[in-house]
Amino acid sequence: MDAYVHVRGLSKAFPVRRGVGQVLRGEHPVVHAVRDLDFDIAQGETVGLLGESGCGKTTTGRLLLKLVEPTSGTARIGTRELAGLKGAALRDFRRDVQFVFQNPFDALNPRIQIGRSLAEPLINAGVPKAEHADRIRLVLERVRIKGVELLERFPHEMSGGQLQRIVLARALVLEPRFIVADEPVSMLDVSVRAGILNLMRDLQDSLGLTAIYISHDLALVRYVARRTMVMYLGSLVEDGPTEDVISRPLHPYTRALIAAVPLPRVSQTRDPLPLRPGTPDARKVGAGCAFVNRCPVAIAACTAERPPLVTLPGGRRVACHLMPAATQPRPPVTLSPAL
Amino acid sequence: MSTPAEGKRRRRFPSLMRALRLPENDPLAMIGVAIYVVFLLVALFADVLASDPLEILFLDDGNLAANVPPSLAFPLGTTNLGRDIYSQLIVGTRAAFVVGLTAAIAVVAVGTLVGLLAGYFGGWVDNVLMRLADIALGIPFLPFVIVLAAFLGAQTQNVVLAITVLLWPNTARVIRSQVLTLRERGFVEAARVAGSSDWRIIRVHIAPNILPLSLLYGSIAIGWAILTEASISFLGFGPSGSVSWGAMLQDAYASQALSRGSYNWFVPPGLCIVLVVVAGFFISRGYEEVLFPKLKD
Amino acid sequence: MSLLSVRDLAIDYATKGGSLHAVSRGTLEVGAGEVVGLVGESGCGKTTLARALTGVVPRNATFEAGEIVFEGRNLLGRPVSEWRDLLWRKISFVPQSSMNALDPVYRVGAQMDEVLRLRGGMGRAQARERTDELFRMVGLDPRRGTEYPHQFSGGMRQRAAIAMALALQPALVIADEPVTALDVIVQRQVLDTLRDLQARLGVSVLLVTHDISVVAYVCDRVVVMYAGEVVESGTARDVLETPRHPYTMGLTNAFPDLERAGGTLAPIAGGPPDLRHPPRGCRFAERCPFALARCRAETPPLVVAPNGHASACWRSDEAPALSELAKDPSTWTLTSTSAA
Repeated sequence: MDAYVHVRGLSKAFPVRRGVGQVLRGEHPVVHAVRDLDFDIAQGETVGLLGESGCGKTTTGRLLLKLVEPTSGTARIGTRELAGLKGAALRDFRRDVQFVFQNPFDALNPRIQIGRSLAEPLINAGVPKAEHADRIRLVLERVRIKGVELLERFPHEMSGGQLQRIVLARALVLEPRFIVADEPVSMLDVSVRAGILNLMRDLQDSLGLTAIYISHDLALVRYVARRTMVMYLGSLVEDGPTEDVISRPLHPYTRALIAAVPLPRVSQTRDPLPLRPGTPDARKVGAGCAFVNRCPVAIAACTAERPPLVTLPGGRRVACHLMPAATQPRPPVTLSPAL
Repeated sequence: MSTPAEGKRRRRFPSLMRALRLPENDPLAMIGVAIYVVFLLVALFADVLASDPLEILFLDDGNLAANVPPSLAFPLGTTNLGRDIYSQLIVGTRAAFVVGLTAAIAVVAVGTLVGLLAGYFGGWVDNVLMRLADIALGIPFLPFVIVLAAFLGAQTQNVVLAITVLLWPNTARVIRSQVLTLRERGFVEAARVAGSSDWRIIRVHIAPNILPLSLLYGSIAIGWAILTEASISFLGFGPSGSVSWGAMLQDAYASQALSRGSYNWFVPPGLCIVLVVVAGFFISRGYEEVLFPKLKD
Repeated sequence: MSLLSVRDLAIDYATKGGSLHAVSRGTLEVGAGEVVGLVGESGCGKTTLARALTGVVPRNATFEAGEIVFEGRNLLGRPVSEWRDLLWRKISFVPQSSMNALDPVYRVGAQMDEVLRLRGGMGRAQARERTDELFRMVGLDPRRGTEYPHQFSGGMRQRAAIAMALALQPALVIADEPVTALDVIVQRQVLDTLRDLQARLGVSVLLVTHDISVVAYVCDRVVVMYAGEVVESGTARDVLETPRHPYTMGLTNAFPDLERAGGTLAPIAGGPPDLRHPPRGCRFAERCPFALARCRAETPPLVVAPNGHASACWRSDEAPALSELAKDPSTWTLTSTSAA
């Protein structure tokens, strides 16, 4: 199976502010936002990218959109290598790859009417003006917005749910093949969230989109993506079918994440989080596993050496030194006695 | 979503205010705009409203009409050399506006362009332009004007040049910082993902959002420019033989009008300068409300 | 007698387009040692109501009606100074963004000392000691008291804000979306701390949130607000498991649940009404799949059942049947004439 998105060794380091001593010694400390990412996404597949804030999931999305340049590594989307894309090739790339923003209230220019915002990608791509109205009408139908009079409105005259549909419409108007959605419902009210999620799910199916859905919420990821990749402090720690990841998490961090997911149910007697006290800090990642300071089952090797992301029989991947042990039947993480 | 009540509310001069991007229900901004409009009309029709301001006038008895108090013939009286103060004031409006408007436009144009480029592109572009701004900010006002007048001559365009060189960095710095914030906004990133070129992003997404800020600085700059022009004329570095409010004050001062109590001579030009500057600030307040709506509470 | 009792509170905002009825029929009770969740979507008036309890309201807000009875005294109509006197000592507040609670230019420990000394009348040494104790209580290292707020992570700041709210052993803590901005793991940890401390100290908590799972995890009772009105209240179990108001039914269905595989979430079509011109009758009627003609004409009263479960719906009696219907996503699409 040929992958549509092909990422190898992708890394991005940002310089951090130097202390006086570091300036004097001529050091240039960096923080690794994303470190050695390897993954493929098949055509038409939706992958959830799960992790806490600061884990590098948003940077990963921005790298794939060529909004930031990687420090090292390669990424290929379709037939295009991202490195060195410019001019007309970059414009073509922008037609195929789109982004859905987290904050719909900020994603549209407040001084521009909705209709013009929707037409912008068409103008940039050189679509003849005569086709604009038809394509906008089609895309509004796709995101289930009725009423062309909306096109005359300004963003502040619309609700969050409507805005997010417009943002989605703008992303879809050029009929892209790959979409990066960065927490697209986290700013929305619960009652309209479901509408956007359903819409995303339907669109993936009907348009055959390849997509990455970035979120910190496993329940949301599960709703839209059949496969989930879990990130921790810049590295992939686990990758597998969403249902398997939830029912049989392999990495200790994934186990903690699942145990922490809030449930809308009363009287839960929940187990304490399988975590040692500690905070994630990308600047303090040493030679070993990034999770070692919070990991409840860490062994000596974890501090000494970074565990590689290994592929297990069946295709799941995990980066943990304890993996041989973890593949043995372990007591599964209990979500609640209600199940 | 406009309610019926809102829709029916009568709007005064909506098109003018909208063109200026000012809130239509801001009374102070309205007053400021009104003052500007009146002065502008006076400046345009100065020839009709006044006679030659430099003409030396004589009384019916053949004597020089020097220091005549206000009367029907001379609404604001005459100068010590027998010139009509009213006509000087009217024609001086023209000088004030020619200098004020051109300088303000130049200041805003240069400042906005520099701010946009420095803020959007960053890096060495930003460094070079902002160091230039620092240098310009360091220029002392008076010596600079004297040197400029000495080398290039005391002409109107040089006065405009001096004002522009002195005032552009303030606008540029503020615009730059605004651009820096805008550049991080989601919709700018969205435009980039949508395939917009840098030029298009600046033109469509950034420039319109900083326009109120430019206009704010423009409305302040008009006042400053008129004030600066008056100071230059008052100090005697203005274009010789021209009529302006500053030059009137200079004449009045040089002929000891103050000690003679000829209020009719120095109060009107002083008042006009104050009015124009205040009008500028009224308008800029209106822009502040557009830019920072929360200030209103 | 309950610690706090709010009856028919009405708060208006003066806006350009007329007065906005942010809270119209705010009615809730918080008993001693009870954790009450105040749930609703943005703009439903929950934050306005919660803030009003501290006496701190925006300048354009006015109390139009109702009463706020705290420890047997109606606070409304009393001088602000008296109200302010209660703040920190009796009623304390944990804001949504703990960045707002902590002043960025002072060390976290020093800020806590200040509250203890100014509001609690403690001496320097005593305050110091209590600060350390509070830090330990919320799971922070007392040595980090010398750091500035920006050196704290989001979860630590929220812990510090909770510690500060508990500093003078108030009877009531009002927490406005205390965990909304946090990641799931940190959220769970902060909630655990909150739950723990509440049980240990017996303090009452009014927890404002949009998140039903937070309510489910920590609250004894729930009050659901919609468009400025309380539409349902009762024990967390009653409200979340056998909701009596269609809005609550809709909310519970719109929420993804990690334990229920598959299924389709059902959005509630439409949006909340313009509170400057609230509709006649039930304010939820235009989004409600079960609305009758009567719902659009008459405002349903908040009726309290013998078990304390209250709801403001003309069809409350049919609640079990409606609740079953509400579980089918297609019920909610029937009314979605206008998307979003």
